[in-house]
Amino acid sequence: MRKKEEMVAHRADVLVIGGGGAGTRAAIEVAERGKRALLVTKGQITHSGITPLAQTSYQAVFDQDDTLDLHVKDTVEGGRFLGDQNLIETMVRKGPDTVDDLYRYGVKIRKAHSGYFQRKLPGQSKPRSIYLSLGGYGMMVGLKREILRHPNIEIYQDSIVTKILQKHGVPIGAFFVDLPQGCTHFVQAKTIVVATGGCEELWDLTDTPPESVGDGIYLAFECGAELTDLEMMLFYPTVCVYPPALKGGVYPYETSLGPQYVKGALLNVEGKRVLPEGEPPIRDTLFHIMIKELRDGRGTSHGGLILDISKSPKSQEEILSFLHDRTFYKFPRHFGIDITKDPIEVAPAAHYQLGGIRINERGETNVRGLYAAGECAGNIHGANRLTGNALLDTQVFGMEAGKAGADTADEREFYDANKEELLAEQARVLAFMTEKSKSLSPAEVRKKIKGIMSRYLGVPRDEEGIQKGLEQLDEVVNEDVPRMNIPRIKKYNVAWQDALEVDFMAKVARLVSHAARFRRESRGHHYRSDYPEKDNANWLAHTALKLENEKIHLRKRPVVVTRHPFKGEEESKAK
Amino acid sequence: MIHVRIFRFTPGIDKEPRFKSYKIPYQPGMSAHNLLQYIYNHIDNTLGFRNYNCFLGVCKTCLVRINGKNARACTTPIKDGDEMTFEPARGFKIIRDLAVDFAQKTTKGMHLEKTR
Repeated sequence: MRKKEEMVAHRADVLVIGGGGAGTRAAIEVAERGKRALLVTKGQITHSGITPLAQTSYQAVFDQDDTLDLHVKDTVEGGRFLGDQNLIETMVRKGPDTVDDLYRYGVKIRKAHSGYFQRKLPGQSKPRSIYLSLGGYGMMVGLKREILRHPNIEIYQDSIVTKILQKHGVPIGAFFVDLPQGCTHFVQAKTIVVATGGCEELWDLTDTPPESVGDGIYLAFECGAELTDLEMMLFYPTVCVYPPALKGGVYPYETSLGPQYVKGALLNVEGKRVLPEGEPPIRDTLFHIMIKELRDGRGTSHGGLILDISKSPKSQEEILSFLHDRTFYKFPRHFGIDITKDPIEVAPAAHYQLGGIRINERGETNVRGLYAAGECAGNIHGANRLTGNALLDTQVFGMEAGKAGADTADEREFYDANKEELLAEQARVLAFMTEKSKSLSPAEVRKKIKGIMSRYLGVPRDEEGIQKGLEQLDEVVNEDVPRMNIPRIKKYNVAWQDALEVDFMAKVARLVSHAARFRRESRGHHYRSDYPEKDNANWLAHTALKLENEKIHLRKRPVVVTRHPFKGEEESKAK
Repeated sequence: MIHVRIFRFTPGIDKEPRFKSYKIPYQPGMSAHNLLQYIYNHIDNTLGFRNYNCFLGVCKTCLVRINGKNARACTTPIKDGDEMTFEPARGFKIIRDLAVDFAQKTTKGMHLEKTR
């Protein structure tokens, strides 16, 4: 290693961390407001982040029978009354405009008659899902095209932000590792937008890429941002568990099981149907049914249930009319699997982080100059998210955070970072390359964290298990992470990214566990076997988690209610 | 068992590329992308490649040259006993080993996307 490591310096009005749907939308908004944005992303745009993996559905109100208030109501009820209604209203109100924006960026959206084609999916009172060709990937292609049109956006790809630096409690910039160059950077910024996605990677089975470690959530937490409802990880019911080439792929139950679409069957290993007749229930209800089957030993040897489209009463021709252009039909065919004839094994997988950094309607966090958008922001969807609200969330709050970040940049100046702090961070990220006795590879530690979280913080959870999980995670943080050792390669060192991510994973896993222990009830995707019922008297509230005097502080925070107060269990029961 | 040869090269440091051989235990239903992940996780974590998967076969992040032809590793099925050569995808600037910069196309006349 050279004696003095290089550190490159930059300046930008707004630093955007993350290059998925929310990050790119935020950067576009900053540039449109005449400000300079620097966007740092861990991969290359369209080749990284979680957005490219999203299915085709994008909710927005266009249908003449539909109303904004119905969309709000569906989202509030679907979220089990835990979503902040001011945010839901903002998201719904601005939804239709964001669809027009995407169309302008060149995203391919299916049309019908004079407007957009819309279909009705579980949880929606009216047909509300716009159909994006190639799903989230198609959306990213359009966003990338738009971002490249703006000379005011500078992009650092394959780069990992490891620390946000502050002065007097206000963020002044960030330190990042540049994998292709093998060097480190410091960027001074007047404001910072965090748009880094969720932490699904903490669990064994996920349908997200390995980079989904919740890094931005920890970066914001370190700055003093309040995190909300971290215990709420959405488990998508039907994700493939076998064979290996398909493992992690989403096989949407909305289409494959819905009676108005394919009408396939979900079977246990004994060949019995596990769902009642009719429209499949929404995600949290469906996954509870599946988890029960699996725990009662009626799953396959790979831990899945069987999604069998050949059991559909519909003709092959009709089935193919729904599937022929869907990626989840085309992809398995490369491996000789035709899902209309061959059953596949599916199980619930970590899919979407409902909790995250607390924001307001403008994407502001409680830390001045720090904004969050997209999946890493927390208090929108509540305890369960409806299909098509995630991509919508990225665009609305990406836009809002970009707007607020750009406007606030006017009032602020650049500050120099404390040099010792920067050098200490540089030394910390480089230390993974120094040899250690009894060293561990990042891959080993990653596997260990995923094992602990799946064992103790999956579904169901209980006090005793969470306590054990926390003890084991403390061990990982204090003993395993410092032993991680990676090859001494500077240029595009995959293990370096791996080690930095595993370090984040260990820290985020602890925060998630603390939040899960704190919420003593079951709601949506958080299921406590020691508190199996919803407790509306005590827990119609957010868990709020914050760093205070270097300690984790937990408290309850009231849910923001505007027009849809909780009136009793009857009204909120699953549709 | 699957026999794999992988192109290894760090531009600016290595004088010329070399190939490294690996043997990987076969599992039914695995893809070429699973092979690379197996090598990284269990055999050799100095390998430079893009460990990203959209599970849909659309994002082309796993694009590599397999036995001389550009292919998506995630949609390439593997048979027991296969012998395969992996090289970086043709047409893009090599970052290291199999990892290329998709933003920098190397074919003449192609538009260079702005990255930095």
